[in-house]
Amino acid sequence: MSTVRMILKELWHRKVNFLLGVLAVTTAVAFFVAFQTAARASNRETARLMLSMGFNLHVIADSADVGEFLMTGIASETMPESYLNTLATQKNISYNHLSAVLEKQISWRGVRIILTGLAPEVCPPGRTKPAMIFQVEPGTAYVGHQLADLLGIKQGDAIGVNGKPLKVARCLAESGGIDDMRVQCHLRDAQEILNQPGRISEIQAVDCLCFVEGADPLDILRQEISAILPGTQILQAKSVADARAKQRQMVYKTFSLMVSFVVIACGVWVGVLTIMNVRERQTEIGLLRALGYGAGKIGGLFLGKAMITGVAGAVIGFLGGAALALVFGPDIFRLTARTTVQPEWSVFLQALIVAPLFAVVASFIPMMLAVAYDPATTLREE
Amino acid sequence: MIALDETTKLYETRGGEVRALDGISLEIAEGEFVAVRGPSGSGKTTLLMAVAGMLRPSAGTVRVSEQDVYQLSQRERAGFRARNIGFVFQMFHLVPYLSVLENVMLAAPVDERGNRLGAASDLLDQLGLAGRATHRPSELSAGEKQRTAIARALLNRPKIILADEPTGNLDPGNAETVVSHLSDFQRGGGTVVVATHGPAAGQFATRVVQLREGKLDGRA
Repeated sequence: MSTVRMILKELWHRKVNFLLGVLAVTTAVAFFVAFQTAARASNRETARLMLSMGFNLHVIADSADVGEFLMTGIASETMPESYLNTLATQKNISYNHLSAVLEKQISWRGVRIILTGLAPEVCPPGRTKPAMIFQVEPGTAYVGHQLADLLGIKQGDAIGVNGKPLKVARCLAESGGIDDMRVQCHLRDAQEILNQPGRISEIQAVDCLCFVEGADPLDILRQEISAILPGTQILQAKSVADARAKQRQMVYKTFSLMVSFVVIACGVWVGVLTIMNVRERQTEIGLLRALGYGAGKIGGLFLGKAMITGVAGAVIGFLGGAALALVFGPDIFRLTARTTVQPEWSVFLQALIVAPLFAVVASFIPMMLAVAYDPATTLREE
Repeated sequence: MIALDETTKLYETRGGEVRALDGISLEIAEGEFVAVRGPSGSGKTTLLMAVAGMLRPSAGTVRVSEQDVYQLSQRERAGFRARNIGFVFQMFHLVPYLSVLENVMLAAPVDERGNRLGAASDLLDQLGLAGRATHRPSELSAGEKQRTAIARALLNRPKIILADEPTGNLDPGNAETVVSHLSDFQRGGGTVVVATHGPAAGQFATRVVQLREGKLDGRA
């Protein structure tokens, strides 16, 4: 009789033992999948939440006054818009979510405002992610709360800025910051209004160095970007970057810790079940040894069973974990749930490989005990 | 066929050293039916295990078919056992999740399973188990279980059958049936060594060996 057939017959005979084993692996995989899915969704949610704190990386022209930029948030000099494309086409870089901005303080209807032109957000190759910022359609404008209140502007109004007609797409909610005095429009419209075609004052981005240890992320970013765009200055909003990094590290560590506990507990569970199975089958093992079966065949019976348990647990666990994430995710990640809480198929592949290995490792010591049983002792005791 | 020369087996226990076999010298010729008798703990099972190559003696040698069994590697010993020795146990030791036929086929070497299926069915027929081939051990009577174990022991046409209290769990009728099957094997030229308390084996035995505290006590 083949090893596989013997394993299947034994599984069917000792269904409860098998089902408990599958349940252990299912639990480990389900938690792993749920945590992985939640962790990835959490990262996206964090990125979205960090939007309220602004981008953390600013690239401005080499000739711009850094002191003025730090005080006003507006670069005094412009640089070519093509810089954005240069940065956006690089591979193996440490930034993402690139957005070109042209902005300037102007006087409009007797009020000092900030006019901000935004280009659609772009991502470097292979790093495409959902956009962090809203996209302003050409010919439209988003008006800050204080400004709209001051000038009596309402959504749908037609306004003109330096002769450029714009339709108010939305009056923004009160932010309590500089955005309340801002008119945001498409980059092309801002370039036309400010008569600076093909120019931008800043490239905003988000760094991807949350998990770098032992090095200053800003040094890495400056080295990277200066090599690509020599005529620029790179500034990092440290507090925003740190908050983002700490948030992501906290999520990563929390989930890693929880997954580790669950995986260890389930590993012990599978191991104990295998020990019970080995003890129950002691005489069977002794008999097989007496009939001339080698250690490989006997070990194969237990490891094969562990493999089947692992595969079954991986499939059921993935479905369970994905279901958990889909059911509870939207309540936790309210901003990004619709687009980001989705089954992670790469995790399914990981589970299909890792879970059987996990079950085999957990069963290894009991299997060695089984192989080492002295058939004479076992059969004599009976 | 079987030769034990000054064979000793010691066990270390908490209570001290136990001599399960104490310098036993015994020869069993081909075609003999030997009943090994003795009280519990006298070393009967240890003797069978030593002959089977499953229990290395502390001293002395065990030869089966002119081969010093313990000069072989563990793997070679397993193969030697599979080819030459059939086992029958008091507790039957049938695998609970396999059918009667599959239990018998367990003894077949991997590369000969296709050829042995017919032989296994014939054996079940001879032992009155043809109608039970697809049954599980839990569905059999004690006598049927032991006959299944005998079929398993006979499948490879071994030269020797070692039976450890094969009638210990059987009623007198079934005990006699089981021993008569072993006797048939012996009459066909095989060698049988039975460790037993009961009288059934003695009825068919060509020789009775008495063991007491690991030593041969006398011969009949």
